[in-house]
Amino acid sequence: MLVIRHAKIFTAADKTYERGDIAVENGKIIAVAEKLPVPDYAEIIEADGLFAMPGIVDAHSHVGGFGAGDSQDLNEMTCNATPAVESFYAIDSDSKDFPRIIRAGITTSVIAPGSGNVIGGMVCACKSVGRSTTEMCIKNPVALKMALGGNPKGVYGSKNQLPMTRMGIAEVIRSNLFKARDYMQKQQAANGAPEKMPPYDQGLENICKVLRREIPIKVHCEQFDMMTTLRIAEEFNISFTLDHAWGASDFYDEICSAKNLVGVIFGPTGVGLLPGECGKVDIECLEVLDRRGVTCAIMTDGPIMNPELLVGQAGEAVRLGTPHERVLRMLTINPARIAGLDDRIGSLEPGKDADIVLFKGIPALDVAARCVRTIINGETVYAE
Amino acid sequence: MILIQEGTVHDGHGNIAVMDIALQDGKILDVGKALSYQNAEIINADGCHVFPGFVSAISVWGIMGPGWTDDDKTEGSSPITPQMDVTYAFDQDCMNFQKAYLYGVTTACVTPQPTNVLCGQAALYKTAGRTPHGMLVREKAAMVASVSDGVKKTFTKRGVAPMTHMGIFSLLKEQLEKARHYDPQKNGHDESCEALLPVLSGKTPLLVNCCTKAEAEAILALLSSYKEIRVVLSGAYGITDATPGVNEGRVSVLMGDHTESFLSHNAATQFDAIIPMMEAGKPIAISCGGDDITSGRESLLWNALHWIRHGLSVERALSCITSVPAEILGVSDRVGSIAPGMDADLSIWTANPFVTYEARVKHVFLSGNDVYTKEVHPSCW
Repeated sequence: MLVIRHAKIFTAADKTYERGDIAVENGKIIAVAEKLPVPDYAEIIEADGLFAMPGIVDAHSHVGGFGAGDSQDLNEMTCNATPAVESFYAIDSDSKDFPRIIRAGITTSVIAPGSGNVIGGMVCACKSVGRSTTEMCIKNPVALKMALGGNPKGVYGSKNQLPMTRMGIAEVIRSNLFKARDYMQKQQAANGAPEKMPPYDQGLENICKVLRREIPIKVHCEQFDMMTTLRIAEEFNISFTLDHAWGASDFYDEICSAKNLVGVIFGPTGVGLLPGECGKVDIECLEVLDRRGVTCAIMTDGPIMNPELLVGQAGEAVRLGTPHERVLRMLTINPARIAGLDDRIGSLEPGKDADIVLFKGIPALDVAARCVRTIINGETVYAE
Repeated sequence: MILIQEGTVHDGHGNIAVMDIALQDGKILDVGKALSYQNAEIINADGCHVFPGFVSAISVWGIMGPGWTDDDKTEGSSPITPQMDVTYAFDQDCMNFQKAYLYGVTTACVTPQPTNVLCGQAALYKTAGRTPHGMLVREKAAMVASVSDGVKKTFTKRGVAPMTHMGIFSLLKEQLEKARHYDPQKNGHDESCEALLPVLSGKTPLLVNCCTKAEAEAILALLSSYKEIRVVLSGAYGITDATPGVNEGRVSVLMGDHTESFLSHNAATQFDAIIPMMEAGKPIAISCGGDDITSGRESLLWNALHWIRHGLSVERALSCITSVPAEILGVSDRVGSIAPGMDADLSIWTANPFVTYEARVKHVFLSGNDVYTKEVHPSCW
């Protein structure tokens, strides 16, 4: 048993404690209260003056799969649509990315294929520690990754291949969805008779999970490309997340009324601006989206951005008007909910995984706040 | 005439006091207690914090884009292009589009991308304005060189030198020697040598992008036989107080970006070794530049905050993005501090942004104009 005592606690579950205790046993949180009994055999972490919060969840990351230079394993850019591939197989559990994100308080990352392809492949979620990817992975698949705009255009357009335009991108997505719909209908028509089943196709099997609404599509899109995502999701009645979502402030009404929207995963910010899809980076949109009921999260696109800037960007959201407590949810329970993992992670409540971070200073408020201890599954994996 | 009253003024040199500031004709006219001028427009800054306009010491704003690959920052036709000059590439629409002043950045040193051994000449610009010339603070402010892997990557894939650090350093040395022995009477006019003459004489600093410990040590070793050259190490993630030559008076540093982590050289920074040097007054500035990085308007402040999280004092962090880079880049007579005679470049915040994220910008004055609330600089982008 472990008891973290006397911390200021943000639970992400509609309760904060100015001073409270958290009890952990067998990797799970067993109690959170103002004062908990401490048995003799319990290990104690004295957290007086520290800020305790749920382990941070990065809802859009590529850690463990993007090495420096040419050693990347998350863009299978041999075909514009590779729904059969899975990010799980790209993740190096020994990557130096993981110790780095642990120091920043990130305990779970939703790890996606890159944006080189229109349909990039399956997305999984991993804890930041483990002896193997199998041990780290807590959900697979989480979503099917797609990408609109300049990335796939740049990869295939330069080879005079589809897609060279945004028209082509929409065509790639829609034709694959139609193909999977046919495949699914043939399977249903076969009614269990093996000789009538269509030939097995792993990519189409994966897209069928989207059509059956078992998983959302996770779409890299910015500015007006977001409207393409909305339109296609509506046409096929599939659920989706808007990832990056720069320029969302131009489309509040459309985004807030999209019935299949699972969440908006915003970021990264701090980038040079170019006309078109990099023309407007507006983290202030989170205040309005959140107030109007959209589940919002903030991402680093790791390892692109220093993982400490997940909290830094949250600070910018606070600066530009989003209430602090709402912003902390965007680092914890919201990304957990978007990934369908809120039964296990994202808040400090009895029964949840004991993923807890302690900050000196208040994250996203004090600029000097820094993570001083990271606990995953009840084990301290980093302590300053 | 604009009179900013009762703000907590941070002058960029470590001094803080509640003061009034008078602005006239684009300059700071006076700084003092209870100033009084007739017909002045009054800005009440009571409870607010006032800072000198931040100086971004390395940026590609103005020479990148408009397309992802269509820009004017990389003259990669040869590894040796010291004659290139960013003033011929600077597009005010690109700079205005960034709105860097929304985060208090009023001056930026625009540098060619550090992918050549000798990349060309940098210039300092204001971050908003109508024409390139009108925004120019200082041209030919530094000669930009690079000894990082970015150079190797550029030329290796073409099968031409340099594909190693040996190649980089031999090309650099050869060009410096060529310029040292340059005689226009004998050889005819050669701009690639002419451009290096003010570097060899110490008039213009040589800004060298170096990412690793080995690169920093190697460039200081090479330049130990060029005692006149004023050396500015940029990136510089590998330096410590023990790096041979780094403590010489002619050597200053622009620490590179820490917000990006893809290239991960910046994970090696020895904060514990460098911060005492900064606090002791060694000219070490904080920048948001480096290998292939296009920073956003928030990036310079974020970098300062990163150093604060690692133990740098708040006022020194401010100096490291104001007076220190201004001094290193030779523009401290105009920007980087709040004092009479300086350009009227300053930002007013509702709280101290080096302490809390709740601090919001209220006004930004750039050459005396309030670019935050009044003057609009449109961009055709």
